[in-house]
Amino acid sequence: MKDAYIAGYVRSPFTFARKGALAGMRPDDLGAAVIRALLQRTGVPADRIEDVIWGCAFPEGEQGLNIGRTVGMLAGLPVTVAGATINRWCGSSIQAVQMAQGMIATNAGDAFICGGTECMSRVPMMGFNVLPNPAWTRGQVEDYISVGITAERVAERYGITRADQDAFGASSQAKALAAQRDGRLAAEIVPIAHAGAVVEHDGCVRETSPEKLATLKPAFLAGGTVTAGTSSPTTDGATALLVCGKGFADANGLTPMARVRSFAVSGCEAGVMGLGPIEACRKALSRAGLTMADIDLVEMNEAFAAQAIACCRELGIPDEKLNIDGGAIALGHPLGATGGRLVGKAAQLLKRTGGRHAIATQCIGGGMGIAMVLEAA
Amino acid sequence: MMDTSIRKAMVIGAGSMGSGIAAQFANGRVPVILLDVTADAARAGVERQLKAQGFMDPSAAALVETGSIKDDLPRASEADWIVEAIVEDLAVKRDLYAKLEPVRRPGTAVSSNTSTIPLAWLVDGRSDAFKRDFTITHFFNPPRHMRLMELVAGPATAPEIAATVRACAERVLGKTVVDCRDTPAFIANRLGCYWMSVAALEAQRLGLTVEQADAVAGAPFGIPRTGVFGLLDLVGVDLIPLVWTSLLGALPATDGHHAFDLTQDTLVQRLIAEGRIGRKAKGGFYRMVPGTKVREAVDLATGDYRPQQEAKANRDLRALIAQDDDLGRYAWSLLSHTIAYTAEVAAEISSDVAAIDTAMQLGYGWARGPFALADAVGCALIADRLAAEGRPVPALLARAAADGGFHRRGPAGREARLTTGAWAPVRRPPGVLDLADVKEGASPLAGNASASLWDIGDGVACLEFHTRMNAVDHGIIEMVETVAKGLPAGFRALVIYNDDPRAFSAGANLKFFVDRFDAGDIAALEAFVVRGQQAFRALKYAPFPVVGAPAGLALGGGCEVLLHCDAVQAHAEAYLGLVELKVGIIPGWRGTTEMLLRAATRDDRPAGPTKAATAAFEVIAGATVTASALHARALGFLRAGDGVTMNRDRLLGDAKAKALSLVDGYAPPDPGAVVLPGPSGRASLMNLVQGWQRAGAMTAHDAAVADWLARACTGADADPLVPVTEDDLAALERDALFALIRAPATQARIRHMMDTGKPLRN
Repeated sequence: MKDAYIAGYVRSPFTFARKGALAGMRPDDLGAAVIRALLQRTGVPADRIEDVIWGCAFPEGEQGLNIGRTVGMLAGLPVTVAGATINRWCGSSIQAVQMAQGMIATNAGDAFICGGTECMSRVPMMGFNVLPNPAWTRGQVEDYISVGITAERVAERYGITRADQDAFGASSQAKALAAQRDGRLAAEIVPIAHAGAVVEHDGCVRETSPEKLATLKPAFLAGGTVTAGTSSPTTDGATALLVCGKGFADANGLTPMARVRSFAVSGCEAGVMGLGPIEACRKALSRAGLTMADIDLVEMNEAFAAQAIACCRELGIPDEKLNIDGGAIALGHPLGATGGRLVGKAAQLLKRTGGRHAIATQCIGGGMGIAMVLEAA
Repeated sequence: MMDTSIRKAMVIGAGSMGSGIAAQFANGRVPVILLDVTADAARAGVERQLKAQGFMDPSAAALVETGSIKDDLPRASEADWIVEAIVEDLAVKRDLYAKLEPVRRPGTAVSSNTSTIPLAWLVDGRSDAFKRDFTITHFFNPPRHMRLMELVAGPATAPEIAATVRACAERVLGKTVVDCRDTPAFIANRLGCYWMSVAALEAQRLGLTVEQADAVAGAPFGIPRTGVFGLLDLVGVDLIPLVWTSLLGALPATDGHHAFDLTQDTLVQRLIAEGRIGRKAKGGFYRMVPGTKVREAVDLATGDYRPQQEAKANRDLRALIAQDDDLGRYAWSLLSHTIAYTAEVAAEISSDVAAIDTAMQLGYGWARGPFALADAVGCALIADRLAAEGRPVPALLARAAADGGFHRRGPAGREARLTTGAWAPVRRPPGVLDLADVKEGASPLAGNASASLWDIGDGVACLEFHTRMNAVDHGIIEMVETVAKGLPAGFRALVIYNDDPRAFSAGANLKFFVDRFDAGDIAALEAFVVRGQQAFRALKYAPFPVVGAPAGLALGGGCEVLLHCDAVQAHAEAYLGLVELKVGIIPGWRGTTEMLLRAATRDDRPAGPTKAATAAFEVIAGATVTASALHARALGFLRAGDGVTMNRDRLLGDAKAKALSLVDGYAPPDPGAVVLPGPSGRASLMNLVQGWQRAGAMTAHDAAVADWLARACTGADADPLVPVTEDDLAALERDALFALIRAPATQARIRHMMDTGKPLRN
């Protein structure tokens, strides 16, 4: 079986939905822009790409029409390059990388463009017409859809206080702000031309403090602990990765950043979906024959501070390994694009820090977790 | 569309007045360029109006372009009316006009919002062409809500310019225009400042408390309950040296105001020196003790604060002025001085007493102007007492005292005196139709204790509600049934309208509900629901056009009436809402149904099976009351063909015209049907409700009511492939009502609303 390598990673700036600089941009155009940049930066011949595997959590409206196909067409890929849309909600674009890995392993192609787009300005979370099965109880519907309430539940179950969450939120912002100021994010960000301007920087990062965050009102539950400052914001963004076999990398003069070492998905109660990474990480680590102690870097999506703290406690993830350039509370969480950022970032960080193993992981609404272990190439 | 030649306006000066005037142009759908010294200052003016709700809907702000005087003054050439609202400084204004003159288009209106500087001074040194185009247009703060605009035309002003400004101010900006002469402070502030001076100084001389003075100066005079000291706190005590000094300086030495020089009052001077200048400083004549909810007032003798004391005054002004006590003497002093001064200066400031009364009503919120007040008390009584006290009786007052007062009903209609003393008919501007005029000397075509049908001419009938707050009761339902069966012979269209200053209709008559709860007679309430549904359905399908014309509140059942009209002609300040949830029910007179039909046609919502259900549900479950007619359009209460009238006085005339426009080829609407999502849509809406409940925005009973609403809004067991008919939806409303009126929590809500006027959050 052939190994799959992460040989390229770019993303758009992530900006606030509706009020951010990319709110007016179509998701397919944004996706096409990052694909063009990926090809330009890696210099690979487009006609050698097998498929575009594209994550999107709410693939309807401007994100519909099989956006995996439309982004490739808009990016100017040859018609011979296929395209598929992958939906595992928040886990969509880690899943996209895994599909490429599986196809490479089974000799179903050598090079894939993986990634995803979510423009939450233009297609709302849960979609335009929310129609859950009426056979479900109201509790079931809430567990599946109202992710803020699931974060409150996790906070309560794990005794995670408001102060714990505010400290985590402020830390995520501080890490992201430092990375932004030191130019550590520039390597991955593709400037996006839109409406006569060029958007070059992430728009959600804020200078804040635990004290400032402590003044915010609970966002979901009266008397609760989860606020807008300790939740990932709704965001517009896109990511693209080049995933290929060793032979393809060598033939095209690419230096891969990391090899996909293992992968897992798992399920849990929908009402505590934020705990999803725990089992997924354990499975993925076990499949790689590793333990968390072997992991140098963790890129974990911060859907909510509460769930990220719970997962870190359960998995024994020390602060200094976690999201060292900031997480989704600061950077934003364009649902279908986030997984690609986590995998790409982890691969890039292995290269930058000289670490050996990294893990990228996410919780997923409806009660799932997803995790991918990478090894420095 | 509005009849105006103003296609674009420019307002220079983005302070609270300038930005407010610009916002009102935008509210009237006229694009406007707003300039200030810097473009940032102009933008800040727009922001201020957004915050202060100077815009009737935030979307109106899109009609305001901002810029700087330095860079953008040449854009004056684009404007048909340029309003100057910069600092009250003659030299600065003259300098601006000198720069404006070469860039504006001759023949377009230029006006100043000055409140103190004579027109003659403003245009001194300008060309004849500029003088021809120039007027003073004095707006009141806030420009959206204050209906008065004082218009001063100079001797050189072209009549057609004054006419253009007047027409735009009336129709587009919704103002009542009062012609003024070029005299200091025009009408309202000339008299208003005098009245405040007398009221503040006489209260001290006669030894009244602040509370007593306000109790006397307020309700008995039909003046807002802020009285005089509360009003001074509101406008700011610090304005006294600025405004009063300028006014007194401009008045001739013989003017009666000099006898009451508020600027020399030691208490006023002390308050200003100590920064106790009113509400903006958290304390003036009244204050809240810092950090508490305890109100204090100034002791007029010591100038120090003390706990607030309750004060009451006889609301019958005639009786009050006859009282042999401090309150009576104060009331008489205030009345006699105000009436005598007004009569004395009337001919100097205006040509007719009706204009002066209107200015005080609309500029100062007086229920009656000074001349109407004198009529109510008795001109002879006032004149005789003045004479008995050895005080001069102004000639105009003497004439009114001798011969029938200031206002009368003559053979040809209402008349008021000119300030020369002669009688003249009260003129209504063309297009203004006044229901009170119609009713005087006429009998209704039909009617009962709750509603009457009037002939408003040209084959149009007007259905007027006249219950308390125009609550919909059996009498109103009965009249709706009667007219829906057919209008009297010769009538072709119906307008539903009334003159109530607060409410077109505040909703269904809750007292009936409480009475039936007490009697255990739920069947009567069910019958009321069914009868209302049938009456409103009949109204919708009546064989003649029906136009609803709301101003002020149109809530609950009062809103549902409007939703069954062929068209609505709404006053801009119409506040519509289906707020039934607050009393534990849902709109049950087919209002939920009509909102669903409207929501299905909204173009600001994504298509799909949940579109109509979600849009209607959000508006009703949120018990949203619109902030204006513009907002009502945005939320789907009003449809594309519905009209908005900016000027309250023009509402009935516009509604009648709208009704007549629908007569030719009129056919009742086709019965509607709407695509609804059924049970899965209900699950989705209830997930929203659960979120609101979790976040503390809804109570348990709110959620229970919302569940019935969600059932109706999603069509119960509807399938999105089969549109639900409006009669089937009406049946779902009835299901909800029949269940909810039996719920103890709903009954508690209705009782609580009846008892307290406030919603119960149970």
